[in-house]
Amino acid sequence: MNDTTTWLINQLTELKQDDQSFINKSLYQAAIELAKEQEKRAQQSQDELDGRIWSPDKW
Amino acid sequence: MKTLILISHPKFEDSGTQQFLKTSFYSLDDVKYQVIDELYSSSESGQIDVDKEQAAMTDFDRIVFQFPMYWYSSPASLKQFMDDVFTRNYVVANRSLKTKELGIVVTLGDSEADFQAGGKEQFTISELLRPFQAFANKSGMTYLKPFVVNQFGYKDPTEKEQLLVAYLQYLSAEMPLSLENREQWLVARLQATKEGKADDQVQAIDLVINSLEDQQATVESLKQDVKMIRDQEE
Repeated sequence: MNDTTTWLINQLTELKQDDQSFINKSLYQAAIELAKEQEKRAQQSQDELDGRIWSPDKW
Repeated sequence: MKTLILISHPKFEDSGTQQFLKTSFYSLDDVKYQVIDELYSSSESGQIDVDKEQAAMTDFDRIVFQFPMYWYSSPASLKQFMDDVFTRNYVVANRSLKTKELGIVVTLGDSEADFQAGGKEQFTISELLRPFQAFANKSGMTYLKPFVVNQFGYKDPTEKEQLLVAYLQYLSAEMPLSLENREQWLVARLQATKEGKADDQVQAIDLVINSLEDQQATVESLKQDVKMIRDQEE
C-alpha cells in the first residue's frame, strides 16, 4: 500500500472512531474502501502502461 | 439531483429494514419520500388527488419505487398508485416522465442468490421486475439497475455500513456508478460530515478530501495515458 493510502486509512479510521453517527461512520469506511480502490486502479493502469511500453513488438 | 422515493409497504413503520433505509435517506437534503399506503389511508374517500400527485413529480430527476417483494411483485398499493396517477395522458401523450430516471429498491426475505436459473426461485430479480422496466421504457424514463436489499436481519454492522452507503448512492449519485462518480459523490458527503465538528476535525476532513481528489486525478490521468497507447497500437 502506498503512503497516501496508508495515511488516508489512518485519518479516516480516526474520524470514524471519533464520530457517533452511524451514517458518518459508514461514509468514512466507504472513503477507506475508495482510497484502496483508487490505488488498485492506478497500479493496474501503471502496470498496463509499463507492459505496453516495453512490448517486444516495439523492439 | 432531486429524488422522490415512493414507498409501498402495508406496515412501513413496523419494518426494521424500512426504518433503517428511512434513517439513511433522512441524511440527504434533496431526497423526499412518500409512503403510498399512508397516502391512501389518510384519504377519507380512499381516492387520491391525481393532479396533485402528478404535479408533485415534476420537480424530481429520479423516481424510486421502494417495496418488499410480495409474490414476485410489489405490494398492491404501488400498482394502485401507478394505475391512478400514471394516466395514459400523463405518461404517453404529455411524456411527463421523460428524461427522469426510474429506480427500484426491492427488499427480500430470501437470499438474492436463490433468484437465478437453477436456484430455488428459478428467476432473476431483473426478470421478475420486467413490468417496471417496460413502464420505464414506455414512459421514456431511464431504468436503473434494481437495488436489492436481501435478508437485512442477517447483516452484521460492516455489511450494514456498506448497505447504507450503497443505498444513499443509489438515491443520489450520478449513474452509472463509475469510480469517478462514486468519488465525486463521496467527497460531497464527506463535506457534509464537517457540520458541527471542531476546527481540527474539519481540517482533517479537508485534508482527506484533497488526498482523495488527488488520487482520483492520478487514476484519471493514467487511464487517459493507457487509452492513448491502446489507441496507437490498434
